[in-house]
Amino acid sequence: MHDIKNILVVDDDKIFLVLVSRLLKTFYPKTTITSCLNGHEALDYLDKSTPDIILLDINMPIMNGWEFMNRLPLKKQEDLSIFIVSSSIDPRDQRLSKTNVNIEGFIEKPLTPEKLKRVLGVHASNT
Amino acid sequence: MSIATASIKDRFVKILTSCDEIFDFVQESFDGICMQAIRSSDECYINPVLQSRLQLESDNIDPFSLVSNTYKNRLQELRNRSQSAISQTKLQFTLKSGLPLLMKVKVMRVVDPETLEPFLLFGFNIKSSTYQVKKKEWQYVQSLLKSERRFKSLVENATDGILIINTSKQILFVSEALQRILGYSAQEIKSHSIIDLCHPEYRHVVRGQFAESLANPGLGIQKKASKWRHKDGSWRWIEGYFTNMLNDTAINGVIINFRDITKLIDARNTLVKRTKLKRLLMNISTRYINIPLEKVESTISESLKDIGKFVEADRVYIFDYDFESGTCTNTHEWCDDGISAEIASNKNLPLKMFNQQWIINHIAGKSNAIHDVSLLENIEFREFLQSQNIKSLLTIPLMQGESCVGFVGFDSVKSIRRYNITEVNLLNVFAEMLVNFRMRMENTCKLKRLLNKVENQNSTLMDFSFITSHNLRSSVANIMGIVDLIDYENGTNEFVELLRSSTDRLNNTLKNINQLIHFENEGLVEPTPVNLKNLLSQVIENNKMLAASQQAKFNISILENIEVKTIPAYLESILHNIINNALKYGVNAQNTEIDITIEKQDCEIIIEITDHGSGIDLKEYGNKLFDLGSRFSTKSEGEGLGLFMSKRQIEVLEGKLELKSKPEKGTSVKITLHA
Repeated sequence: MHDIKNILVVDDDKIFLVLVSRLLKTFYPKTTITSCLNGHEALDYLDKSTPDIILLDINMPIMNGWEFMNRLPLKKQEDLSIFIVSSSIDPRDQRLSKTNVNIEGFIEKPLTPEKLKRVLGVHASNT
Repeated sequence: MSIATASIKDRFVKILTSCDEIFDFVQESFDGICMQAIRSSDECYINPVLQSRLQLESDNIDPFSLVSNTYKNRLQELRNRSQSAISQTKLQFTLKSGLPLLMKVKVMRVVDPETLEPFLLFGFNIKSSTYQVKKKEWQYVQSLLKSERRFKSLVENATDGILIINTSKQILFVSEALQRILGYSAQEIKSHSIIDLCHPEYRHVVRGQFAESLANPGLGIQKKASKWRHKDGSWRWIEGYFTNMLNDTAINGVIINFRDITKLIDARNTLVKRTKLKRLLMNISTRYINIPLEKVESTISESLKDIGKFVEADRVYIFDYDFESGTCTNTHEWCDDGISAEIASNKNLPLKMFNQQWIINHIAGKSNAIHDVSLLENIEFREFLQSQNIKSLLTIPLMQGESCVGFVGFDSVKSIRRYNITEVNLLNVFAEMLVNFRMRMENTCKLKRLLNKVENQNSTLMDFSFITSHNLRSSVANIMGIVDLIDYENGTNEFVELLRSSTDRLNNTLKNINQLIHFENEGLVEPTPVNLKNLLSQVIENNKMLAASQQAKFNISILENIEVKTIPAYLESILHNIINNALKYGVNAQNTEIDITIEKQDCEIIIEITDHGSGIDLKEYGNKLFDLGSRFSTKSEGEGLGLFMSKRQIEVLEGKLELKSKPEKGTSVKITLHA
């Protein structure tokens, strides 16, 4: 039922990265996951590869989520399904997520199997 | 003589009663009576009424000796006519005081019934008698002149002076008051041409009055003020009132009543000046209200100019004292045209340079006036002032409460100047105003700095709370994720459930705190009209689950269309909190009803939410009902945020939130909003 999907997780929280990979392994064993610890690493990675979905945190060292979005070429933004996954409570972050057309949604941490399903489901309907 | 007079009075009585015709004659409205023997006018009787009217000393003086010269012919005519019939005429009598009196006189020839000696009986109509001077003032003066003694005292002691001059401006009479008013005795003044004493600018006024008076015999003409030179050289304001009495042979001159009105005019001028100064001060003080900070300096300078122009100072300035460093500094200055500015060089002047008494006076709140700088003994100080061309100066301390913070000063450069007490008092008011204004501005500045600081702190705090809250939430989210995974991979376990519920609760707390931070940060939202029935339905809908689990029942009373202009999110939040509280704490097994009424009263909308549950002991908790983190029940979980938030929100809506409660009776919350 699910195609193999490549998911890029951009988050500096290593525990979160472990959790995401465990969740995926448990519920969606066919997906592959790549993780980057900040926006800068992610940009480097995207030069070579094109994942199906990006789960993007906002508060990160070196290059945060919004800086990453500003640097990422528009063409790439359109091709990718980008979700913000954050525990930020700053209303500006939520507002920005809503106004940026290339952001598919704002997902509040914790990431649960239900929320994960929604993300992958959206991607399924897109393709 | 005495026998004869006694007999004439007796005879008069006899004659009077001898025949009805005579009696009637006397009765007929004539109240003054005189009987005179035809053979001798000395043989004469007059009744007391006539005696007093004609100011005669006894009752047997011939009244006709007083008849004015111009009326002598008429008298003769009257006497002649009396031979044949009763006849009458008008006669003018010149009284001893010089006052002309006109009276109707009737005459009748009578005969002593015993001796057949003929007499003339005169009747005088005293009631209709008139003084021949029509002007009220003259009448007033004259009516007081009933006796020579009174006349003398009046004329000689009156503050008003009396001057009588003839057409060739020679002084016929001048009263003693002249000495008091212009310093000259009657003797001295007669050697002067009086008009020379008048101020040249006012001579035409006096001449005009005199000319007008000459043209109006018998009349007084309008009072006018003019300026006259006193013997001591000072100028006096004199008010003169001219009455032409040239037609009166007894006077034959123009009477001038005059009085000194210098004090009156001075008082009026002072009053006018004081009123103007008060108005100026008012203008300045209103100008000081609500001015923006950047205009403070220019407003102060402007007011120095206004006050300086008004008191005719050449330079007005403010100095600030700095007693710690022992200096003072010129902070503001206004100079009139052509006056040198000194502000640049008057910085950090050592106080030692000033007279010691100068500083002492200022510290004690007293002003310093130097009428003549050239007389100063302190050479250094004198030279300092003279280097600025100051001839006179007045300085008034600026008192902030008990302490002197500086002074405002008024220099006279062009000429020597002396300020009177009224000016000093009013300039004191100006100084007070200046201090108040500067204090207020200082406070405003302080407040502004504080506000900036608070704003900065607030924004730092906000950033801080976003970060900590974010970090906390990340960790909580991770724990929740781990709990889910453990649950999934290892199966449910009692401890995992406890861990889950405590993390859920922690997560909930964080969410509420975030909500609070958002509220504080959001600021004002535009009010929009809200239909209260719809809003209430929505709130009840949102609490449906809780209501169902508590088996609560709502009794709602509201008119269909009550609208209120408000911030919908806030009002919804308030209603949600109150109803949520009622559901959580106000419902028990016996009492499940919650009453909600919304009504409009005049210009207020009142929303009341009443439950009949366990209530709150207001004696114990009343003062911390709306405090952050206050909780009044252990029955159900809560953060202590609900009422705190509602109170903040109702304040923004400019409404009222009141809570009444009795333990075990229930709680009633009343929300009042402007309709």
